[in-house]
Amino acid sequence: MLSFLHSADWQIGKPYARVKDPDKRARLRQVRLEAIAGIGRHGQDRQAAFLVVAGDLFDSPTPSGSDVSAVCQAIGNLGFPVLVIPGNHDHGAPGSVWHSSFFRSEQQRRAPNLQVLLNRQVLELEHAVVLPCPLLRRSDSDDPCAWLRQITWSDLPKSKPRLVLAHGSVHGFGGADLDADEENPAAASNRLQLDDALLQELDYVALGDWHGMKAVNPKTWYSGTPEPDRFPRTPDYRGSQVLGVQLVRGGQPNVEPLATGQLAWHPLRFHFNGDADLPRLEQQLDELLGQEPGQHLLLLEESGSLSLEGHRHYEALIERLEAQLLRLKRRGRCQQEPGADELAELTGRPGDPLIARVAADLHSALEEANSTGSADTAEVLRLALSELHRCVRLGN
Amino acid sequence: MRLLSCRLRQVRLHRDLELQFGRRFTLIGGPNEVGKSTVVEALHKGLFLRSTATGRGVEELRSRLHAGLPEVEISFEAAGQTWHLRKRFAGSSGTCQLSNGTGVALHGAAAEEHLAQLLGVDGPVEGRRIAQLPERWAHLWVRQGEASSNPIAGQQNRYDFARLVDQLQQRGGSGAIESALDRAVLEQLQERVAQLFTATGRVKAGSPLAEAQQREQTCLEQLGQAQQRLSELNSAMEQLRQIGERLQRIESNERPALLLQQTALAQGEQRRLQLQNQRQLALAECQPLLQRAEGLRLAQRQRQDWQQQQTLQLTEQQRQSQQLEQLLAEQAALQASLEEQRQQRQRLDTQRQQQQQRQELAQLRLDQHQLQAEERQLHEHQQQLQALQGEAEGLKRQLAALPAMATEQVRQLRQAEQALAQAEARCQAMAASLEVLHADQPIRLDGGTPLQPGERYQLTAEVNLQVGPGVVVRLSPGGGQALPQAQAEQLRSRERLSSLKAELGVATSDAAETIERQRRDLDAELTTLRKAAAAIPWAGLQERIAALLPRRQRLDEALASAANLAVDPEASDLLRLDRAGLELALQNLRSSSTSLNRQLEQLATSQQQSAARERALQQQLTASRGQLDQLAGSLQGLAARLAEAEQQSGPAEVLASQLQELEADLRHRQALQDRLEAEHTSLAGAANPNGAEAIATALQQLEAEKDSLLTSRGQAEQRCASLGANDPAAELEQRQAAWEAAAEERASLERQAQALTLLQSRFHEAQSRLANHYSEPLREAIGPYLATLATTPLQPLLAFDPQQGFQDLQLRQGSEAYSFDRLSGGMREQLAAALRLALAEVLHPAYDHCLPLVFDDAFTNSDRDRLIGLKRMLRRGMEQGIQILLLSCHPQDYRDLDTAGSQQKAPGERINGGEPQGDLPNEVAWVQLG
Repeated sequence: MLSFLHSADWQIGKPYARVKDPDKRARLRQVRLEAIAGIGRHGQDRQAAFLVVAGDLFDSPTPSGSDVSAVCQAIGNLGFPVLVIPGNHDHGAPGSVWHSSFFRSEQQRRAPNLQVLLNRQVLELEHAVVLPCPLLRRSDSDDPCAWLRQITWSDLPKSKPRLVLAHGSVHGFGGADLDADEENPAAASNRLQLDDALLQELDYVALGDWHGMKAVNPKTWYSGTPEPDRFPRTPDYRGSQVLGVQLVRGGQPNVEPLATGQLAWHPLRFHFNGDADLPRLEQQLDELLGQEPGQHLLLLEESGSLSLEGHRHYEALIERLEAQLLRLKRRGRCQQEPGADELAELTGRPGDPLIARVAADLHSALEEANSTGSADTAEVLRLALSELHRCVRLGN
Repeated sequence: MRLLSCRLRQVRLHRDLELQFGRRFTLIGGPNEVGKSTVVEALHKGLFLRSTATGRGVEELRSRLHAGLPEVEISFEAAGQTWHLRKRFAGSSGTCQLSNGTGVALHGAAAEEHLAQLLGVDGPVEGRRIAQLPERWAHLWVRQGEASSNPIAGQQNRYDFARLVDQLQQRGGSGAIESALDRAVLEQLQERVAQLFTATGRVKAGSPLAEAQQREQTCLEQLGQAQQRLSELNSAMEQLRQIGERLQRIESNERPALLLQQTALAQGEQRRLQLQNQRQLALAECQPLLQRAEGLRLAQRQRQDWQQQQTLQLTEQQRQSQQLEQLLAEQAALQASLEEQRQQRQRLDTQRQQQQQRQELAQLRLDQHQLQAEERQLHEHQQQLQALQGEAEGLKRQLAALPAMATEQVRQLRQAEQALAQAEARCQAMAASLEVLHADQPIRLDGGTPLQPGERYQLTAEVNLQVGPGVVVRLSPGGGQALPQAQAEQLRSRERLSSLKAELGVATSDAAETIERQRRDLDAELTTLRKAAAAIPWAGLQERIAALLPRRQRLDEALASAANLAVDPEASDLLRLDRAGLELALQNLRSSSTSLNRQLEQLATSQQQSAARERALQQQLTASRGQLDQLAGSLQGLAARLAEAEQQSGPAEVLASQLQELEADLRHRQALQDRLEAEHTSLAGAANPNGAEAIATALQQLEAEKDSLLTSRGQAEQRCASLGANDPAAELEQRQAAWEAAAEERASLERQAQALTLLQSRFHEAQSRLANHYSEPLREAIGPYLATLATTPLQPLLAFDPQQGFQDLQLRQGSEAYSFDRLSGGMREQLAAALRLALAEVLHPAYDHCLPLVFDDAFTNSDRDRLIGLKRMLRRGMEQGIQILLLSCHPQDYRDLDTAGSQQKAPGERINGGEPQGDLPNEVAWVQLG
């Protein structure tokens, strides 16, 4: 029985440009490199014959020299063979990293166990037949698996399990589209045609591109990324693993997810109905983040509104979270709207007729905008009220 | 602030003028040009113009009458104290001193600044900003000619706007106006908006918003550049890939294919050469057979040709024989016709000879007649000439008998006669006339014969007239010396006449004229004779007559000869004809001769044609005979050749059979050759002589392309390495994130700016809605003043705008409202005065409850009927605490103002700087300048 590891989408060198703090950015990048060692431990534990990386080992076709060196060093430390195909992020076009002399020299020096499969041709190993489908262009309208249909299967060894390495979406599962968000736009779609007839000749299809783990069918698996790089969009999204696969020719593969991730990416949706919700949020955050907020990344999808004072508290909380968390990403907006007492504080000022009248006018306009759904107008009106409140506070 | 006194030194007209002002009312009167307005200007400049000012503002104060620099001293009350101000306008070295009774004594700039504070203005006006000077206290200082202008028109600082609003708020009550916090908030908002936007609403350069916008733009540009770099990298990679693919195709497909073609081409060429040899061999085998077949075909064709020629020549022989016979018949007919023509010509020649002889005879006869006529004429001429010569001789003789007398001579003679007659007439005219009518004594002239009664005497010289014995009278004709001259002329004329007569031999001019006319007639006749003689060809007349003789002889001989030869009866008739008959006969003969000649010509032509035709027939006959001879020979030869051929090759049928067999054999051989040829052609087509060359060229091109691709690959690799050095994909993500952050920041700032702008505009709207709180107290203040003017109700209207200040001043009369500009000049003066009084009333609490209001000739347009109302209005102003300074050319009109108010005191009057009455100013002061 063949035992090997299946991984993909390491995307070493991902810049995490939207993380403003450079130290946190560096940490996020470093964690992705450290995941390789985690994979190595699983491989050693399971005595894996080799590791296949189904594309997107690098985040770009021209990663920095330091990333190349670090990756080669990490792979070299694994102690078992690593078979890699280029994906859409690090496609294998001439001029890409795979053809560069620097990579080749680093590979030879630091990672002799690394084999980059740039040709679509049968690779016969000691215990397996590998059928690589590398992406040689960023976007290719041709099916990278098309060459498999030309194979005379009877020519292949009868006893060695047949393993396909590919990167892209498959029929019925558009991984790239489902995986995309505003920070990770859908890359060029490379559609893989894996029909039943083809699958009958194969024993396992190791796919990459979808960053969550996914069994398309018993033989076809997306391993997901060993270290998440985005917030999950669905509850069943599973990142942070490598797949341990056991395989015999003609049999069903035995696939086992093995945890690898270090960082926790939490989505949290919260609606503010009033200032009383602030403590509730803080409690939820405490439960979620525990004592090590520095290991967490949080997507806070906020809605609702707070009073002017409540919003000031909320902003202070946000400021604190931004400092503590590895990353705080906010989506949506918590509006600030004067509470009844704050409004009374502005409108109930007989001694300051202009302020009182302007506040009353703004409040009236805000109510109208809220009722008509003019969100932009309402936001400006809220801001104006907030500014007025602040000016009055300052004046007093 | 209250004016107490002033002193002007060296200010225009005023050398030293000191005035005390009434605490409530000061009336300054005086005629025009005494310096009333100077006082107003000097006071204003003393208060508001910096003492060190230079330029027009100071120059206008200088006196042309009094030496020294202008000095203005003003005493006034302000801020609860009495102040003494002294300004000396000496350009940049001007001085200012301000002091009060409590020890404050300021100099220079400090004094100026403190003065400005007391007056509630920003600071003294600089000389270079003299245009600002009229703006100071413009609502309180009514100069000449400005009384009908709108006090609240123009900029707000003309009427102390900020302080006025402040006072109006205080008058309006604290519940209805903006608070300090309101103002503070609004100012803060305005300040923040002003930091973001310009006055025209544009984003201000350098503001946080502008910087955010700029940052976003920069980020966007950087994003574009990053996208461009990534795109370039992708393009370079794509190019590299295409180059690789192309190189692969060249090496794997195209170059091997070409090499394969090259080998195939060489093999084809070898096979082609083999086929060519086989084809040549087959061709060589066919050659003798072909020659034989050709020989048979040639013999067959030859024999057929000969037979055909034989048939043709026989036909031609027959045709030529028929033609020969026809020609011979035609020749015989033609010869007969020629003989007939020859005979006819002979006859015609005989006729023509006869005609010529007759013609010659007739001509001789005519010449004979001509000779005779000429002879006769010559003799006639000879006779005529002789007769003329005789006549001329007679005339010449007559002419010689007459004395020579020219026309000129006759004219001279006639002139001499006329000159004498004129001289005599003059003498007669100048002579005295004497006629004795009756005498009883003898009367004598110069002792001469007694004169008889009835006789007239002409006296042309002095004469002594003796009457009787005792009387002698000397008579002198008139004319003086003229008479002797006339007499001398008379004598000269007479002598000339006598001389001419003697010369010509005639007695009178008439006789001379007769002789001259006779001579002229004879000359005319002689001339006529000469002309007649000239008409006769007299020259050589005799010779010509002699010359006729030989002609006659020749003619006679010819005629004799012709007569002898003439046997023709017609010719003998000619000898009997006269000249006319001869001429007619000759003409007939000529005509007949011409006809004969024409007949002869026609006959000759006909003869020539017949002869030519005969020659042609002869030639045709000869040719026809020759052809017949040739045909006969040719037919003979053909028959011989045919006989010989048959003898050699046998009959024609045998020959045809041999030929058919040979041709079948050749067709078989030809089919074999065609097959060989087809294969050869096919190989030759494939082995196009250019094919090898084309393949070599294509290989060379592929090599060149390969070299070029390798170069391009190197370049593309270089580009990939260069572009990929900084990981453009990562850079793009970073740029994208930076741009998103910048855009978010900009959007946030814009929202904030919108909020601030919205707040500011809401504040302004609220202010506008509260504006009535400002305008209403002012209107209320104006109302009572207008009420003093007229019995009909007058209601002022005005609007307030927080930014623009007070505006739209109107006056409502009944139900109609009129804008200030549409009012009459007098009404404008009165409404403006009411407004100024109201402004001063509203403002004076801020100025220690008193403000001076200066009217310099301010009511010149107002009816005198309105004077009472005006004075009531001014009096109300005084009652409200306003200090009024009124300057007028008609001060008596306002004298009764001193009776207004219960607190008034007796006016202190001071004329031309007289001493003031008392130490403290009175309530009212009158000043008369002049």
